[in-house]
Amino acid sequence: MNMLVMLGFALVAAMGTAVVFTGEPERQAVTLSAYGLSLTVLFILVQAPDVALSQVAVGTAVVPLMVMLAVRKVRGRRE
Amino acid sequence: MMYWVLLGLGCVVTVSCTVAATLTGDLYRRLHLLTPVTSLGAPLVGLTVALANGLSLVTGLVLLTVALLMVSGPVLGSAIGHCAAARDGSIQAGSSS
Amino acid sequence: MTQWTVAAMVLMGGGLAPALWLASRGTAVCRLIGLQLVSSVSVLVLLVLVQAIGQPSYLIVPLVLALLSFAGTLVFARLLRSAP
Repeated sequence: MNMLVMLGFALVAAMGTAVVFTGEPERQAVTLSAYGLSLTVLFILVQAPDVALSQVAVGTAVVPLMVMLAVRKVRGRRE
Repeated sequence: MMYWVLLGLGCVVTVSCTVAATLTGDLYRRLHLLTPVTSLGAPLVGLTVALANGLSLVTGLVLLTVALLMVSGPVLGSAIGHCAAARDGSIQAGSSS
Repeated sequence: MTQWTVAAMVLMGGGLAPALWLASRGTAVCRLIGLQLVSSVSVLVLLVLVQAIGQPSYLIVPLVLALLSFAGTLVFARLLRSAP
């Protein structure tokens, strides 16, 4: 079990780095959503199901809608 | 003892599909490696969990999750394929299908 | 170290890690394919993990994840289609 928690932490750290070093907002939104899913697995590993549930809701439903709609709005106004 | 074989088979299918998708360069070829995970790996793993739990509410919940995954996998695959083709210019961006 | 723990470790190390790698490289559509792979593999990881932990009440998380990732990926595919 300890090994699994360490593996989860490593995956979350790697994904956080990948999100930070992504340039374009559209690509960053997709990677951010994947980062949320890796965070969900970590929360289940440390036995926090409620936090994992809210992270699922934020990572898979709010990020695509809010971030992508905001990116489109900003891009439309700039042109 | 039987169901550890099922679990191992599900793990092998899932892992080989993800590794093959990582090694494949072409986008549309990678799209084909996406459905075996949901339509073969998921039922194998779900069946193992169901067999381990026996007839109970837990089994129903697991089978519901797996059924949802099996239905949504091909739909999402085709949606992503349409998205990619519309960006490539292979099909008209406004086509509804 | 039960069989469930071993299976969860195999699925996380060999399945989730390459899928996450796929979701952080290339164009937006390439990443979207990676995201879809990540969500279906993480549902499987969560199912095995809940069995390894032995708390059946946690099973609501993979169920909600399977339901919401369907909607989320559809939204991504729709919004990325019209972008240049």
